[in-house]
Amino acid sequence: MKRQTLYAAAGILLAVSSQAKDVHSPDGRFAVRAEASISLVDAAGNQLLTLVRDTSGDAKVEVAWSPDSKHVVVVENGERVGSGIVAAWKDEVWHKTIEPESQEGALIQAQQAKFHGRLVSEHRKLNGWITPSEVAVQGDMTFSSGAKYRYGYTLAFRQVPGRLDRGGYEEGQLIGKDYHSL
Amino acid sequence: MERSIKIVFCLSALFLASCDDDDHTAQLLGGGPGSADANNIVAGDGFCGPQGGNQALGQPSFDSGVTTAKLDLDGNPLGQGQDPDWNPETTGTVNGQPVNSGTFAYVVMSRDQINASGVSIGDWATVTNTATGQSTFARVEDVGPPGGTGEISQAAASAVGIRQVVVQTRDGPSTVPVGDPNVNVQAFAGTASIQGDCPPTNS
Repeated sequence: MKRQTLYAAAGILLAVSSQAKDVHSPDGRFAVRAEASISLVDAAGNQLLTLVRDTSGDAKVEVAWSPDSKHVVVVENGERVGSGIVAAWKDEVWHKTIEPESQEGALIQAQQAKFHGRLVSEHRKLNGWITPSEVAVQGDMTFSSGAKYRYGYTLAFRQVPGRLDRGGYEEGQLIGKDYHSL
Repeated sequence: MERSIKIVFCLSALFLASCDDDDHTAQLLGGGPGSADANNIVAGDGFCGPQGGNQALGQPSFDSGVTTAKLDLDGNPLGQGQDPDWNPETTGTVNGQPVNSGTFAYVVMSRDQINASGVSIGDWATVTNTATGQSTFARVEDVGPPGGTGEISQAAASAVGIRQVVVQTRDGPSTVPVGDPNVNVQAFAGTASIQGDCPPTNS
């Protein structure tokens, strides 16, 4: 069986609430703290990064630490219509990055044409680590025609110079690949 | 594929915006016209504009570019049955209630757009009809699916001169802009706390 099964338990689902909830890294040195915002904190609770400034509209937040505690992926699933994925990785310091939705643009356009309707909702979840820097993702899309599409892909970290966006994320370091239907 | 679309209603929008061609600065209006009645858009106050106007907002942190306008009827109780994707809730709220699309000028952004731009729910935004130059202030009040830009409330659409029709589709009635108008949406991170400049009411 694939290694992703081995690591599947790394993803922890949180319901968003005003009460802080921590998901600790396997080595116990760091944690992702979900409350009104989502932060990366150290073992003492000191904030290292703000991963998501505003969780308004989020119903569920899934956090998955890589087995080596050097990568963490956070999936926000909205109450109604859409999801977003942010992540952090560590070399000497922690960096935060984001999966730009433009990566899914071609997939969305192709499915909208296929199903004769515009995308009205989309949700994603993590399906285990494939390697310490690659995580499997499953998603589903619903179109205005009522059609549904389930798909999967691999989200891979790449430690290359990225463009810093206005949200403070280093873009270009989280790449979706191997998109396929399920 | 079923292509026939039957126009059921044509909604007349009140145009309050104007464009000053002399200085090439579009006049930004308040929340603009709108009502709780999706079939009778009339003037309303909405969010008005930010105190301090454009200068208080600074540079936009999100810019949709020129994109086709789409309508979000969410939060408008009378939107039920007029949009197959209608939802009574919006991500943002006003006094604990959903933000009424017919009354408040708001824009919709995807979760990724919000994160990447640093924008939060409640931040100020502007909507500009790129064909006419009409612009209105709005707030970011709903989260939409990925890939969407240009999704705006009925009140925002009306404020920039976009008329709306209810058409019959195979999924049921759907309220859409007339003529595939283009808009530009800009959002300004960190501006949610700026109060609106609505005049006091005589109540």
